[in-house]
Parts: sequence; structure tokens; C-alpha cells
Amino acid sequence: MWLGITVVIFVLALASTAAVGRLRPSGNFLVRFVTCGGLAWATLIGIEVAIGGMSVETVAALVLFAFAWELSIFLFAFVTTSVSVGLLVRLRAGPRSEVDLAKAYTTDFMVETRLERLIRDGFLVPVGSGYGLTRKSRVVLRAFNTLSSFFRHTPSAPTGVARHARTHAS
Amino acid sequence: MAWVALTLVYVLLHFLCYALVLRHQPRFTRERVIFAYHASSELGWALVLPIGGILGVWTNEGLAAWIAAVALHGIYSLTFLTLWSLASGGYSIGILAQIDAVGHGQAVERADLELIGSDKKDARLRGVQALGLIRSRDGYLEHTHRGAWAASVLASIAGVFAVRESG
Repeated sequence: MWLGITVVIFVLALASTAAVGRLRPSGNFLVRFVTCGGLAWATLIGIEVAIGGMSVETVAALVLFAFAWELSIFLFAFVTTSVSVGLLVRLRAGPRSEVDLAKAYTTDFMVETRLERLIRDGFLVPVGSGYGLTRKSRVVLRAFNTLSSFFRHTPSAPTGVARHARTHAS
Repeated sequence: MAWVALTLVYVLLHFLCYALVLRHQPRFTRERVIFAYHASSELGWALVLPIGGILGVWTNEGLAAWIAAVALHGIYSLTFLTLWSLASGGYSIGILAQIDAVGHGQAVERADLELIGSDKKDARLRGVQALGLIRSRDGYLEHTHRGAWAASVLASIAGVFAVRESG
């Protein structure tokens, strides 16, 4: 019973996220997923607690939904932004030479879509002949540098934020 | 609820093991190794819990507790792997870093941004070939059977959620 309810709520949440995406395609997908998923999760809490109280089944339903929803966000982000997915999808029309594929999937296109997305989502603002970082993107870059150092990834070229952080640290 | 509590303790130990010891080892900076570290733990824990229950190491709980425990581990692993992947530097992060490096409002060299994209594209093309999703035949790139299936699934997801362009 609890499992069936969880599956139904999950499917309804996915359907509502897809519907909102079609109605407002320019909106931020993460906000859309978090809002629809949060509402669905709250509904699930209400239903499960009303049926079985705070039982192990209720906990299982809530944790399972949260995991499935996080997986959905991951998959959606993967489909939207992954270069590998872009290459795979472009080959659906049939075999292509590497030169053809490079023409169809130019680095110029990659840069353009990324810049558009970063401006639309509030990470960049056009300033003069270039761009400027917003407070949001500085927070993201700082978090990225911290995580990158924790996970011991190969350090990339130093950025202004990284230099700023080092200046304050020294 | 004992299995849920046990899982919380287990994932905390799993994380501490990585944070204190394993992250200092060079091979744990490789994607396959870090993925295997989590996938083997998730699968192993899903087996250890009921076996421990049957052997009387801890109380035997039902399907709901097992699903809760496995999903809890799943949340931990997925969050960890997502952060790990983000920290390895996506294309968008590369662009932000490049713009930050040249300074506020300064013209950014388009060629530098395209170079990040070009490196990424080449690396990903090699990656999907290594995974057996694309093969090269007579100078042409085409899907393998598995690749065609994967591309259909991904295109369906993009279709359902009205994604205009991927990649």
C-alpha cells in the first residue's frame, strides 16, 4: 500500500514537473524540480502519516521518494548539459563523419548555449564588451574551489575568486 | 527502524574513510574508482543487511526497512558523486572561471572559451567510444546497438521534459 502510494505520487510529481516545463520553458529547471518535488513530498508525508502514523513504512516512503527525486534531477541535468548526451543524440539521424559531427556540434554552439544559460540563470551579466560575475556565481566558484580541493581534483587555472580567497587567507 | 539507524552510522563511516584516508590516494581521483567505491558499497550493504538479520547479528526487519536503508545509502552516494563530478569542473564552471580570471567587464577571448569546449568534446567523444556507445566504421561514427538504445532513452527524457537542446 505505502509503496503503491509512493509510486503514484512520484509519477504525478514527474508529470506536473513536465507540464510546468512546457508551460514555462524558460524557467530554471532546478527551481521547477525542487518546487514540484517539495510539494509532492509534503503531500506524501500527509497521506502516509494519516494512514500509518510515523511507522517504518512512512519513513521508507519518504526516503524512497527523496532518492528517486534526486535521481530524476540528476538525470535531467545530465540530459540537458552533458556533452556526451549531445553527441549521442546528434548521431540518431544516422552515421556521420567526425568532420560532419564537428560542424553540427561546434564549440561555438557549445559556448553560445552555455553563455545564454548562465545569463538566463543569473550567473553572468553582460558588462561592456565582456561579462561580469554575479554574487551567485562567486558563491558557486568559491564552493567549486573548496570542493575541488577536498576531492583532490587537478587544480585548474587560478581564478579571481581563488586569488581573492588566497589573499584573504594569507 | 534499526536498519535505518545502522545505515546512517555506516554511511558516516564510509564517508570518514574517504575523507581521512582514501582521498589522499591518487587512484581515488579517478572517476571509475570513485564510482566503484560507492556502487560496491551500495550493493554490498543491500546484501549485508538481510544476511546480518538472518544470522542474528542484528534484528531482522522487513521490506520497508530494507528499502529505506538502500534508498538512504542511495541519497548519500548520489549526492557525493554529483558533488565529486561538479568539482571536477564542468564546462559552465570553466567559462565562469575564465571570465573571472580576465576581470569584471573585460572582453574575454572567445577562442579560450571554445578551447575548453573543444577539449571537453574530444574527451567526451573518446569517453562514449570507450563505453561502447559509439563506434567508428569506414571513417564514419555511428551508434552501437547499446548506443542507439541509450540515445533513444535520453531523447525520450528530453522530449517528455521539453528540453530544446542537449549538450
